[in-house]
Amino acid sequence: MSPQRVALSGWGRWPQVQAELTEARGVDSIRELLREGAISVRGAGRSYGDSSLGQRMLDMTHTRRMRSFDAQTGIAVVDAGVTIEDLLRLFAPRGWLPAVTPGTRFVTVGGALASDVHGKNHHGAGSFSDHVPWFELMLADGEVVRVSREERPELFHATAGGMGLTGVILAVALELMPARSSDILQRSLKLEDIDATVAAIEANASWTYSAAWIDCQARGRRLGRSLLLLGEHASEGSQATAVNARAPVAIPLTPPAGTLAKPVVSAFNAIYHGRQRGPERTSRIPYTSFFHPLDAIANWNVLYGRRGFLQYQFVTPTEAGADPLRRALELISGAPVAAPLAVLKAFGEANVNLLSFPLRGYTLAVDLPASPAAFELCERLDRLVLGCGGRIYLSKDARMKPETFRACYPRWSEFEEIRARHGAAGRLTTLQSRRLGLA
Amino acid sequence: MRRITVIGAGSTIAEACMRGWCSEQPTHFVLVGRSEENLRALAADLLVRGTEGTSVTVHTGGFEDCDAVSATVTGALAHGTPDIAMVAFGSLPDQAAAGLLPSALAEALTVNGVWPALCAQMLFNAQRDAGGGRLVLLGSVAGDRGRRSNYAYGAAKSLLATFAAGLQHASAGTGVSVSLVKPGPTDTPMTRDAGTRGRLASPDEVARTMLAGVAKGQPVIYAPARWRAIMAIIRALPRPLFDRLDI
Repeated sequence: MSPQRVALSGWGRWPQVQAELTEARGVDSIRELLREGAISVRGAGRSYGDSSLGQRMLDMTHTRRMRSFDAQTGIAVVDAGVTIEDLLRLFAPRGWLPAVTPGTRFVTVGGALASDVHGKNHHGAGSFSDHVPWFELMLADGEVVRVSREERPELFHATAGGMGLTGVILAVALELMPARSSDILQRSLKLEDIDATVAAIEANASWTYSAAWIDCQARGRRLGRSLLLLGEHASEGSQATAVNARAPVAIPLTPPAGTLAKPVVSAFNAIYHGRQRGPERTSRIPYTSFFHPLDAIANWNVLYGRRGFLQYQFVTPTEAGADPLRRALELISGAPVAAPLAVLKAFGEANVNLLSFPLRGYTLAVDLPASPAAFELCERLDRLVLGCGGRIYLSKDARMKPETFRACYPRWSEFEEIRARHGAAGRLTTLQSRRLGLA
Repeated sequence: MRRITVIGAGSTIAEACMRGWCSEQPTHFVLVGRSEENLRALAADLLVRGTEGTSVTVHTGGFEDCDAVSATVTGALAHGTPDIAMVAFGSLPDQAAAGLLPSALAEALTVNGVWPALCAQMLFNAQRDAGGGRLVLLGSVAGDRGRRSNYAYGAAKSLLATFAAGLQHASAGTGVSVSLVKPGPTDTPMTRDAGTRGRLASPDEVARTMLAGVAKGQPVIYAPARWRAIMAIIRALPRPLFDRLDI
């Protein structure tokens, strides 16, 4: 279990650090590492920025055994390094699916809990942690505790969404969802501008799954033109096709940073938008094509070149309406930045976790190649988001200032008190936690 | 119900094989190894993953000398003669240390060659007496040609290769089939500790090839299969050329 010196980054490939990485092999090895000094816990490294990075890192990806499954209740208890893909491969053929899946199936459940990720069904099903009855956590002093809303509520609500800063998540209990088929009936609506998009999202709120793909390059009257993708579980059909049999293809080299230059992006957007002729189309597609379309390419993140990229995701409250979205899209489309992809979705009610991202409103996520212009754009977007009571997603963040963080997450001080009480302050840290001014 | 006994069940490759076997048909696994905690966690994993009817027995034992190894295997066989028996333990030694320290060299040769051969013989005898079974030994491509970077490990694995060939000869007409598996470099804790770089095969990929080969009773299984061709070339390389290669 010797540590290795490696260069690591989050999924956005910016920033990169030289770190000492130690693979977790049983609780004793983790305990020993914790005893020797501060650590940063990393799962699959699918958060975009610096949430998983640090000087001394604990690699949880090889801790991936199943612990138990109760076919009566649908509760699976699994090691923290088990991925959504592992769950789909094992449980989808038995008629059980994860209740919440993010946009990639390659995340670990430990990371999903720490980020309290959401999926296309947040408006109905809530976040990942809302389907976690309990989990096992190693505290900074090495003690292993079972954490639930009843047994250790403060640790539960600090750890779910707490970015791995309260302890080491060792195992997670998950309430899976029964499903007669893993196929999805998809309805896609072509919408001409941001008002039509928001109106359609609201009008179709009864659909289980909903997210809109927004053309960030469209301006003026077409600002916010989109494809709204709605989905329902098929009531019959295949349960075996939740995961593509085909392995994802890998891009063998890092293309130059200009690959996604603005004209290319505009053309790409126009093709995508033009593919659907009519205003509406219905189809039946496999689970993973609906939820994880980008997973077909193992390393799509290299498309942004050596400098990497930022993903910026914010949410603004429902009361603010579509106006902040319009202003954000104006800023994005007007900036000298090639922003190819933006996803818009409506969130349901927030949960009571201290640092969980979702709150009732609209969330927009956009990829920006890492450049000075992109950082400047993010600063402007920060001001817009804070101005209307919104917040920025920590799992995507690599550059937020401490004051922005505190304004986004006013319960940060409670979070810090709980960390201090359980000895996590200064012991479980990341580049992000230090940048945000946490202890 | 099918019975599968794995000596050295904590091995990553063995675990990947069991993940494959447990979904094929109801199987009773006997997991043999040193760490009870690790074997219990593995047992739970197989019970969740396995088809209905999967069951698991954990059997801990020592591997420090001839008596301990033989007691461990005898204990494992007390749970019944396996339809499939696998010998999977080993450890990748530091060649530099093995080159300097006689004790390190002796350990590298014993742990990877002598003890597995001993286990293999005992399991073979039991299967022969029971009238059949499949015996799987974990060799390595490192046993195909001695290389300066790991010849202590390689020599032990080639011991096992010759031993397997002898058992195959002895198995004629007994109903027992003996397979020697030679995995290429695989992504396991063993290779990660040795700081091995480059693109390694995943244990699941290696296991898929192994399971197919074992089911057919193939005598020598390279996993992934491309290593058969690679090693044929490496064995055939003329000495002057081979000496210049840093492999």
